[in-house]
Amino acid sequence: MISEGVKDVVSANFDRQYYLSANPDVGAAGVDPLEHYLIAGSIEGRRPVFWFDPGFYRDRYADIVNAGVEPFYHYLVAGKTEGRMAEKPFAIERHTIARAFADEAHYVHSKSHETPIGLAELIGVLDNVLQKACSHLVLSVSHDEYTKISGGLQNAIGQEQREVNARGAVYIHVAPAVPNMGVRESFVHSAEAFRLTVDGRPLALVRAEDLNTYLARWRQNNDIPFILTIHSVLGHSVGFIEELALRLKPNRSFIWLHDFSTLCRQFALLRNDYEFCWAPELGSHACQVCAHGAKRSDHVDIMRRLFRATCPTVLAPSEVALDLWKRANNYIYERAVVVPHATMVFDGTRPRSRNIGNPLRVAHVGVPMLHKGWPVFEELASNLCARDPRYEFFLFSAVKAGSDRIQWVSVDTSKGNCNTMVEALQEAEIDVVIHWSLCYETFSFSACESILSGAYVIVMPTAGNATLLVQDNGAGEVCEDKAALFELFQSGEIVQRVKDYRDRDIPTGDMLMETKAVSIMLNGASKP
Amino acid sequence: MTRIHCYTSVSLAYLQRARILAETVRRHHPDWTLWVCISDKPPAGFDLSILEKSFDHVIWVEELPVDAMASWIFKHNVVELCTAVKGYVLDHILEQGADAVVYIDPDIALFSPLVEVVESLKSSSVILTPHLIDCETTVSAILENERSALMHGVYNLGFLAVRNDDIGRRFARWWRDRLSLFSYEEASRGIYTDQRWCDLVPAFFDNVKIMRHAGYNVASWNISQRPLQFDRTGCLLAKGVPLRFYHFTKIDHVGELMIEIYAGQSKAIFELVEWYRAAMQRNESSTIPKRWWFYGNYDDGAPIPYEHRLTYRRDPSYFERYKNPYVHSTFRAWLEQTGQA
Repeated sequence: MISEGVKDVVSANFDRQYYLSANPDVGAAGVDPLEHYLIAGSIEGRRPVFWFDPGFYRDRYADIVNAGVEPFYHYLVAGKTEGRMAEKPFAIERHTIARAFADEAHYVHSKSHETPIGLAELIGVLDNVLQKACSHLVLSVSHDEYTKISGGLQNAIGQEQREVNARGAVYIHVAPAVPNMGVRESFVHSAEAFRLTVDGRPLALVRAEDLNTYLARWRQNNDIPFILTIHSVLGHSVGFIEELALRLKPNRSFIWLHDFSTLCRQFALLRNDYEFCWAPELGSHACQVCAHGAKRSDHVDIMRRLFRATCPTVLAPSEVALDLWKRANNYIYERAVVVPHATMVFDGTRPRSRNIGNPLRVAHVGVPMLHKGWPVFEELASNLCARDPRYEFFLFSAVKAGSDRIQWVSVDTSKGNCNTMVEALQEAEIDVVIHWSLCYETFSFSACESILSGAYVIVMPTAGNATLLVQDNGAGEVCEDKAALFELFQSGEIVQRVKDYRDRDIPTGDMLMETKAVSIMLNGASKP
Repeated sequence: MTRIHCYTSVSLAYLQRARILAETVRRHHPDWTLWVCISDKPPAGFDLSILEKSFDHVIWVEELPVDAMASWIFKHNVVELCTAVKGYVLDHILEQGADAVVYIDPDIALFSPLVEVVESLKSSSVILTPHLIDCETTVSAILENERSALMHGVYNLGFLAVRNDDIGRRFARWWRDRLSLFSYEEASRGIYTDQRWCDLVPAFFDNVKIMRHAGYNVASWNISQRPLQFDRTGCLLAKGVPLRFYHFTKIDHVGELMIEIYAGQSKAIFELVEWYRAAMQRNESSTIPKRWWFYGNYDDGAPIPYEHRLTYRRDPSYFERYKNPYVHSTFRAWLEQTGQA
């Protein structure tokens, strides 16, 4: 029998939205979530809010069990003040680290169950496309079908394809039949297949060797420059690219540094998937204890082969990305060029007023995932500042997530207007964006969008180009760690910072997608 | 100093840990000779080749020069026995002519070369690592850690280094003799396996080096004072100096609890713990049943309660009467007859 006193305290702090989301069986049964928690959920170890673990609390504090007190109630009325822990310390990080060691499935290549089209059909499809005159043929390689997945890299490839087409060239894109994050050494001729997309239209599943055969024949019979551009080699075999480079002898080859997958299979350089590692030397302590460390030496050897085979021009979306990459490898390449995906144009479009929100409107922009800082944002919004009248919290993303303390604004940046996010942030009058990416961003569309919207942007010191953008544009500040971030909000100092920022008549504007990379790709190419 | 030998002591249930240790020692000291002393007997079907892959020399407990072996072994539980043999093995390896001998517990992993130890062995005869090198500042930590050191030994004998000189040999013989008689877990009576004995070492012997480098023997009992952190070069630092080795004692509920209490803001320790767990899985042998210990049972297969061992070892008259207490019809039968079983 739960007393009314206990029920009142728990009810005032209970997160119904979170509980129903985490326990779909409760919603399906039509049971009131709070009642379920008090009667059964607590004993079963189901969390009443994302930041409290009743199972852990019972396990850790035997006196609570002996006294028969409900754990969440105890924590709220006494435990927190007594310094008791609400959940396992660093629960999210530890779960992430454990999963990094346990989960090799992401890196394993598997064969598709679909049957690829045959060579004859492939010839028919591609002859049809290539029968028209074209200035160049671009073969683009990445890890997934860019027309079907929403993301910064996918958008950049889409932009590249449209620009290539606008200049009269054909754009053939290949993605692994079954996406995975491994890079294989050998090309298994009979097994490898690609999802083929031509000029933005997904066409078919084709055998890699058939594509190689077709392109080799086309190359023999045509004087049109052939360009190879590798956006990502994850899920592919270097053997295939080596063979392709040998047979087709591209006029120009390019490898993009959208991420750091050319340095380590952990493409974001997150040691054990949770902390940026700065790409230390092989054999460092970091590589020794990292779940990916044991594979890094082989991975680097495979990458060295890739670079040797293609002798590419390296394209980096930012100076900081290129600097880090250069420091951490000794691959052979022709030259390296910095080509940002976009430029921020501060033309005063949709200017912000000097009046800041009351409550202050604080947002997370982009996917709500660990490596993009979502757990920290969620902790701030749904725990630390859950009932703080000074702040209102938002998630701007194509994906809904978070407790009922966070308002979701659906934004899909995958199609059309590249300023969709900027406009959405301005329409919602967002004052602060917490850009808590754990990754060393090579470019960061979200940082650009946040800055252009006139929001005050808070970043970590290790966020790569995002940190640089904020600092160079005076568009916010760098917070050393989570404790410093939380202090900014608890103390209320963030309100004054935003007031001071907006008092400066800060510029706003739009993003202009850049085409310099396409010019470099197509310019001056001729058959060797 | 050219010939450094390194040994560890296990029962077969801890072999996977010893293999991790061996791997990390070979990585950082490829020139060291590796020994393992196994206080056990192998089960049927045991794959002996896994020992050969990891170690240069293997000593089984019954090969040691111990009088009344069965009686001696019976007095000890598995931890006590694996500790009691350490003095014999040290003495033996010194006799073989090693320039220096390093003992390292099987649940330790090296992360960088033990450069300070190698250097110190040029001039020191015995090197010990204390449990704590800094004073605790909170009452709970004082009771948990400083008092524990007073009860269980100032120095953690998960690590020991001994030079093959006169002092080192005398220490080895003295330690062997003490452990042959009293390597027991009786902290309340002033004895804690091999550790409490070594509180006497700086008093008895010259040329003893107390290694206070923060990178040595980092463990759950001192991690609050030696926060672990990676720097940008990927070096793992303990209190700002390179981690030499970490002691993964009790990587289970109890050990993890201590780490949680004392880790502070250091998340790197949890990476080490998961790394170690993954390494243990990799090094498991399917030919060793879980919780295997040959000396844990009477000859009829019944497990030996620790109380039986205590009763046996506290009365020397039993040693002559029951020379092989493992035979259940002897000592145990007497216990049953007298209502002490």
